[in-house]
Amino acid sequence: MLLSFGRENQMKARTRESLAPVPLRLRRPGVVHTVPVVCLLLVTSMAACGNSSDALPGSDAAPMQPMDDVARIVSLVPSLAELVIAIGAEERLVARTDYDTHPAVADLPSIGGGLDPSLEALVGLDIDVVLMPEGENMPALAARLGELGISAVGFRTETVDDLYDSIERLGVLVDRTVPATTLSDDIAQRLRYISEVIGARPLVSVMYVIWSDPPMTTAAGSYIDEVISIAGGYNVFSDAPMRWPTVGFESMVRRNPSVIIWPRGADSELTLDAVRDMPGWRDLEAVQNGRIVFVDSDRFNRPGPGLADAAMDLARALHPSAFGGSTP
Amino acid sequence: MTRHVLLLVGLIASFAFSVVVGLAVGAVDIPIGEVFDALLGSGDSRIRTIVVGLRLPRVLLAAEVGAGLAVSGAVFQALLRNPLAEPYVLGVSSGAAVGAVIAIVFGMTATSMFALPIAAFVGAVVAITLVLAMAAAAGRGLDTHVLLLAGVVIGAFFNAIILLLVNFADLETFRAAMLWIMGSFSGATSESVTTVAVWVLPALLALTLLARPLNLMSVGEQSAFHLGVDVRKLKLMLYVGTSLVVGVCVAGSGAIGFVGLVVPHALRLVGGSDHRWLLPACALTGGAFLVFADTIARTVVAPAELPVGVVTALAGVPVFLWLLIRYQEGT
Repeated sequence: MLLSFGRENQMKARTRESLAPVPLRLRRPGVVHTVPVVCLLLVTSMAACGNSSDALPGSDAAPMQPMDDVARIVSLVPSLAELVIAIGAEERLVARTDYDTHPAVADLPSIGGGLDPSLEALVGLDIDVVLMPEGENMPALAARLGELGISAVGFRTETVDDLYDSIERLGVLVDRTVPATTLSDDIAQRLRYISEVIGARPLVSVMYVIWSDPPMTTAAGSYIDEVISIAGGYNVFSDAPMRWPTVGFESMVRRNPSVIIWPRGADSELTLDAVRDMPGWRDLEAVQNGRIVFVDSDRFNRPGPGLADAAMDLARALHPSAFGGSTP
Repeated sequence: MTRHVLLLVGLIASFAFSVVVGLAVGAVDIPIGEVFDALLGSGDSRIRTIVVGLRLPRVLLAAEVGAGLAVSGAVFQALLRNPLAEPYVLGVSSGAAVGAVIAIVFGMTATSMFALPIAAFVGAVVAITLVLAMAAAAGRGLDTHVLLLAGVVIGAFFNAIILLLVNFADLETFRAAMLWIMGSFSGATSESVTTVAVWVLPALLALTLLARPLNLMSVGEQSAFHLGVDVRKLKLMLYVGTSLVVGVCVAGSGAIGFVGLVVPHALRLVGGSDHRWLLPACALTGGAFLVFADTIARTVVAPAELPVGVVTALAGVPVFLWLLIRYQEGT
């Protein structure tokens, strides 16, 4: 995918001439990324582990203002880019990061990684506004961008409420307030529906796999923990002191989740049998009983428009009878 | 002597060439003519921003850090009379890394963009002070073996602290800390170039002026003493000077390995170990080497970047082996 922006896309970029100056030509990469999996995980998860106390330009301290019609935007994380697309403002996005997978941005030129974008590419593409998660190291990047005349707008991306808030602020920013409200309402309504259908059914104890070796999971305070609750599950590591804790197999065996939720990319070939061969994991009752739910990693690891779909996938897997299915 | 002069002229030319290449290539394709226009202050404003605002600081910072690390390496090797000595051997980089990781993990980087370099520098100074204090307590005029051992031990201790801190950090913090530890010039600004220059350039000049007594020291402390060198004072000056240089370099760009080890050895193979020649040669070659390495780091996977330390090792080892084989055979 890294190699996919060629002449054809430069021509596409040139059709924007009426809106903004022609972007400078980006160098085509000579080498393909060989470590996308780790980076993908880190960067997509990073969207969810920011620090809420930072005040980036455009955060709650200052009310969001609609930006100029011709402003050229890039998002540093896939989730914010997907929200922009979901509220019908995809034409405002003029670049992507190496981690974006949405087809609407796949043909755009890349600015590199999310945490460490190429400043040169940002200037070369004549970017005006950078959407970024609020995190500990973002203020330094925002200040650097400011020196280059690029505005940075921060969004909190940790909880489901942050998602609603981000959608609303993005709606104001790109002047799509009506579709933004519709999207928020739709997500909220679908989450309510899931809760209602599940009703008072007993909670299923689960463990969500962020990383398999060493095992890393999620605790209270993350949107994934919330999605698990909404879907009628109980996260056995909810009480861990960190939002994304590394945990030992011993405590996993002791907490004994009855279902393991394992996010899997579209091109992953991971199977239950493979997990049954993994040292440590094979000792868990849930694995021995074949109770692994493989879910779409893009949907789950990004707090974006697919959040309600993620909750639905999980609810169906944990409570099949509630949704008219049969018990697996 | 004329051979050394010729070599230095060649090194100046290659340094100048590295600077031109570093300014000419990047994630965005800019014709060389427009690069020069931008340097002269004319042409498209976006191209000026890229060339003058982004590439120039990176090239200058890489040159300063490369010069600083290579010269420090040459001095440490002579001082400790140990070919494996490198600028980080006295725990300086670990100290700086602890400072930086503390700043990242405890969110100080959110309050000020200068928090990280300041914390890294403070960490480096703490490490040096601890090592010198340990060596001084062991007596016998800063014994080099004790210094080496103290540096390694302090380094190991600080590395353990880094692992402890990183273990409790969340993923974003972890990645930020790792990016920094691996070394990068992507944060270079005209301010960081000036800050590093203010400390590193005078220190490098002072070290170069000490080349003659350093020549005597590298033969042996005993003979240096008999030839009238105040060994203890000279050692203290050299340690503090080099540690300062390394601390500032690490604070500016993260810990970039390999330059301080390989550049001095390569130059010794080519031109001998007279420090009056070696130290200026190290400054030029180290600078050119890191400018080239950074240029590669930011272009091969553009617009993404490689850690520059990966490039220095991957590119440096084959060159060094070639030099080793070629020049060892003749002797």
